[in-house]
Amino acid sequence: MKAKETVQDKKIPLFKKRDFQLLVGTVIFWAIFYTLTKFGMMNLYWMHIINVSLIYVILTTSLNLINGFSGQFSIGHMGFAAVGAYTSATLTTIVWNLPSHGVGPFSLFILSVILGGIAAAFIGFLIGLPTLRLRGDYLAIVTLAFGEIIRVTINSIKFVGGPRGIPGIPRFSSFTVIVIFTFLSIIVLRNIIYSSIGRALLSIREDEVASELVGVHTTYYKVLGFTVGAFFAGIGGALLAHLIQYINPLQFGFMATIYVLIMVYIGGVGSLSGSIVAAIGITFLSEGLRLGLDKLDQVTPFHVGPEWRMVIFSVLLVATMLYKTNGLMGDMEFKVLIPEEEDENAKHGA
Amino acid sequence: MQNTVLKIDHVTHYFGGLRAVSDFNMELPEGAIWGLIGPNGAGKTTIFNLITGVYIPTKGKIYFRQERKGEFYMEDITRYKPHTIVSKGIARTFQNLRIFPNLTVLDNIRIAEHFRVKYSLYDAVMRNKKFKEEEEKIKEEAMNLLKLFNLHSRTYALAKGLPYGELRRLEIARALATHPKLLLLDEPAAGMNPKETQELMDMILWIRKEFNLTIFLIEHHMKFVMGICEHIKVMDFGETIAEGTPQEVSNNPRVIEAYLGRKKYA
Repeated sequence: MKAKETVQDKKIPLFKKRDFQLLVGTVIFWAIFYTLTKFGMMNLYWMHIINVSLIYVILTTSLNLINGFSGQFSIGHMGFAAVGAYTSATLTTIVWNLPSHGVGPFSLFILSVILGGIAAAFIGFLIGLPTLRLRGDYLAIVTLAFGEIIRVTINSIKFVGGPRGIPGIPRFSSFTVIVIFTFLSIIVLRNIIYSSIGRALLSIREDEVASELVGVHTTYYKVLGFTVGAFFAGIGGALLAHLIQYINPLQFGFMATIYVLIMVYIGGVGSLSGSIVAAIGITFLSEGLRLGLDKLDQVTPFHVGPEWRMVIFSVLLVATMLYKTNGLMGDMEFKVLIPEEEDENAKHGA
Repeated sequence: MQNTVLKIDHVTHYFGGLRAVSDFNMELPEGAIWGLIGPNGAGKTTIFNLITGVYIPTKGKIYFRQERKGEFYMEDITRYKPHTIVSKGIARTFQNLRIFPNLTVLDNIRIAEHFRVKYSLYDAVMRNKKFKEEEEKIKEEAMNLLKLFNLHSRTYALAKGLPYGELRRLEIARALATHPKLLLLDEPAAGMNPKETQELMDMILWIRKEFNLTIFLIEHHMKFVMGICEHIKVMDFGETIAEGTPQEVSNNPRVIEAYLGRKKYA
């Protein structure tokens, strides 16, 4: 019986391949929503929320690489997103002054997104190098300060609009573009995690001293993980800028980082799947609550403002900490996100 | 004359005003099993931490034998970072186990092999042929090591779920995965019953032959030390108070004094 199964396995290797499944799944997801919008059956508002949630998937998974997998504590993630957003938006809007259609401007836009990522990674590297040499909470303090510094700095640069921000950014981040970037960043992060580099990061989280004493160059790997995380934050920020078409320094403040942090911790520290689920779930919950609270405001005699969303989030976070300490997914992964050769070694969830 | 693998030259180490190690000298011959004993707080683990680069000695030098194109020379490793020293060929275990608890047994071993992996970030992201070959190579190596230590039935278990004896074996296996020339064992028999201790002694002798190692160990268990070590150094309050064969050391009055206190003639 068993022999028969293995023969069958070999017959259809194409469908066995998880990468292929993941690709097919993504294409189907894309096709459904793309056609729905094309034929006007999809509410554009909810389409926008889907786009935003996918960008949050990039931001959350990349923060999870730093906070979850390598066990550091960064609270300046949106600062890196700001670097990416401002770099790419400055290039497309102010420097090149691109029209929002055409092949040429589009390829320049892709270039600007990648440059945004590289700029964020470079800043991440500069911040990581001195702070990650130390053990302890220094990274949290420095990244907290960095988030504020970047905001204040942008505020004072006239060229990028100062506190007014950059309006009129061309809307290049279509649904298709965002799906492709999200897919690629998940694949890249997964490949890093299931490699020797990922294992080095995990060992640092588990026991930094022991890790150093079995030959892991801990500083190098901590900086590497941090830089990769900052790179994807930059990509996410750049995409966000070209989706909402307007950026200002306040969007990338401390509370925005907290929002992403909540997603990481509710999803599960050390789980890409958890981050994906939480990023999409919380973005939708947030919008759903906005509508729900509006309805409630009309029905009830007293005033219920949208600020009650934050109360509900706090309750949600406390409930997670009490009843599901490791987050929704713990450190489990969806099977499709685990490379076959690591199958037995990894913990799967659904 | 045998070749010296590790040379510790007049090493002194202070913690603030406290002298933890004073003027420690040692020339460890190749293939030997040497022991380091002494009462609690004598500075034994500090010696290990100095050798492995966790601390940098206040005074003195540490040399380790290296080979380049068939020629041997003593390299000064005093100021090297711990991970560099591991790559030079010194591995250690810890007094209170330092296993990566939330990772599988296989990953614990593979992390120790990690610095020998020859693919870059690019190869890992692309998951190309080079990556797959290297991964297969280190997995196979890890599996062999697990088989040797009779841990292969636990390959995919989380390390935190293992019983104590197996954790001890895993830690030694993890140290060996770095391909050391010198193995430092910090109280390997701690918490073991006499039967397990005997098994451990056999295992250490077998490891030395199988992996062609030099071994330096710290232990409190006298029967263990006397039974296995060819040469013993005794420390008390950071100073070397005696050294020699197990016979010589066990008859040395200063050693007896350090362990049992001064005899009162009254």
